[in-house]
Amino acid sequence: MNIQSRVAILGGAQTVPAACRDDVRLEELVFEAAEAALADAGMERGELDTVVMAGADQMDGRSISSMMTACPAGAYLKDEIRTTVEGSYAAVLACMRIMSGEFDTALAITWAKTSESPYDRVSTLSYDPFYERPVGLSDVLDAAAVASTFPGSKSELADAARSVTVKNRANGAANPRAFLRAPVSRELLGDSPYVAYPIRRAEVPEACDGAVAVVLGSKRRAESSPRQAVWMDGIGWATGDYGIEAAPPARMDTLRAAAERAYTMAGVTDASREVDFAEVFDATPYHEIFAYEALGLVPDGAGPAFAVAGGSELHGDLPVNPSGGLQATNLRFASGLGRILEAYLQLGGRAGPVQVASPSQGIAHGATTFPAQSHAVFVMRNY
Amino acid sequence: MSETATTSGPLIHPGEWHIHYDYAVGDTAARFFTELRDNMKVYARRCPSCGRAFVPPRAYCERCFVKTTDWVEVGPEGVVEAFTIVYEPFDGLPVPPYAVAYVTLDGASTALANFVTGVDLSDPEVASEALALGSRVAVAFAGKREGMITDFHFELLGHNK
Repeated sequence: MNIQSRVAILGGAQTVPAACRDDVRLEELVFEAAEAALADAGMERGELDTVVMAGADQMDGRSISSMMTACPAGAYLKDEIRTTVEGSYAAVLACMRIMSGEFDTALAITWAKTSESPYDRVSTLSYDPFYERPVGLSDVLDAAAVASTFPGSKSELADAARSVTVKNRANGAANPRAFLRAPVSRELLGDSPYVAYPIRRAEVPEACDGAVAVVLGSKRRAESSPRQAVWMDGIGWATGDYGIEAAPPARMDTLRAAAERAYTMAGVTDASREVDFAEVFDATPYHEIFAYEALGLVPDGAGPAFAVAGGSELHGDLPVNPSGGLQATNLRFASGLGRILEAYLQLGGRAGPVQVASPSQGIAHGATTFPAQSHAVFVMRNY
Repeated sequence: MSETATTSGPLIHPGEWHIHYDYAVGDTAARFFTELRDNMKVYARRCPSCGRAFVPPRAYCERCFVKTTDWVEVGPEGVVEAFTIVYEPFDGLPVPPYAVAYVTLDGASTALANFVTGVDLSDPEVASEALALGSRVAVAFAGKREGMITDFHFELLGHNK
């Protein structure tokens, strides 16, 4: 056996996000990201041992869509595998494959081209056809229902949600890699009509098309990499009950379980003190507030106050989503790998105008679209 | 990119998936839907190991990983666990506003989603107070029932705290 103890990110890239990439086909979009990620890592396709994809057929509008995307992702005559869980799971699987000792390098890639289909309608296809679809459950409705379960004062929570969106859109405005580059004001958010109470239209970020890829390698490989390696030292993931039938707060127990595993693996004992920043799933601002608590960045019940006090701002005590998160770049399905890429850039000192001051340890978090049945958490280090 | 474009806009080929599925309901859910349709009753399925009563019914308990055994009647009242009020139109759904809630029926261990009536939804803040977590609702059956989850909906009970 030749089990590898450490896996590093050696490079990565995201295509320039756009509302509609109708200048390219899906596989061309995938090629753009794969080519750019390999270039960033200073590698040739021939040096890749395996390609790990995350994609969902109903979003791609093709059945077994990896048949079309595998080769533009770099997999011609190579080992490849796809997961249909959210983008961060491509990184989970790629890390495991390298840790197995069977592969020295891997390219993890995911994509979103949801401009081609009516997303709300497509999202209903993920729901149970017997009990849930007839009631109209879709991502945004389910997200709203989850948001309704958060304990505490509703007005304080709504205020905290506004703080999160204002923060993330401001970060996005500063981040050259973000899609939505215009900040929003609290007033605009407060005046925005409800989509599904308590979520307002302006709190559901406009989606964009794009693809994200990262190149990963074994410790041995990382030692000869031209760039500073960023280590994936803690990886944890967990899946909760299907649908919302278990009391909805259980969704956050799933994130807690994933975080606990990642922290145990990385030897993190108190995330609130040891972590320099976090990139988290924030399909709505409520999801980010949940994540503060479930990731242990703040004590339970302190999430809304933390948001309002500015603790998670770019220059706050513990910056969360310095990239602007999904609130600024909503690459549906692909967002988790986007969080990993942004955390990687932070730890390499390459985040540009949204760079956090000298971080050494960060967290990336991915979750399955709005309902958040599955979560993956990564502890990433540059030492 | 635009320098090489020779047409006024991108060339788009439309595509559609209209595929009919016959989803097998299965014996367990079939009993549940039949009870809704024929007897206007809501039945749950109980796990012999942990004792939880599942609505919608499941033939197995995914936590204990054993087959469920007994049927138990639940409701007709229950408590709101989560809700939303929809104000934007969605393809194939009712004209907004309408409310959807996850309700744990009395005697059940899990929540079930359905539409809620009996709430004035014109003011979101007022309506959200009426539907607050813990509010009591009752199952109300449709006159014409088809063995579907929409054979019933929830009606907000007037005496909520």
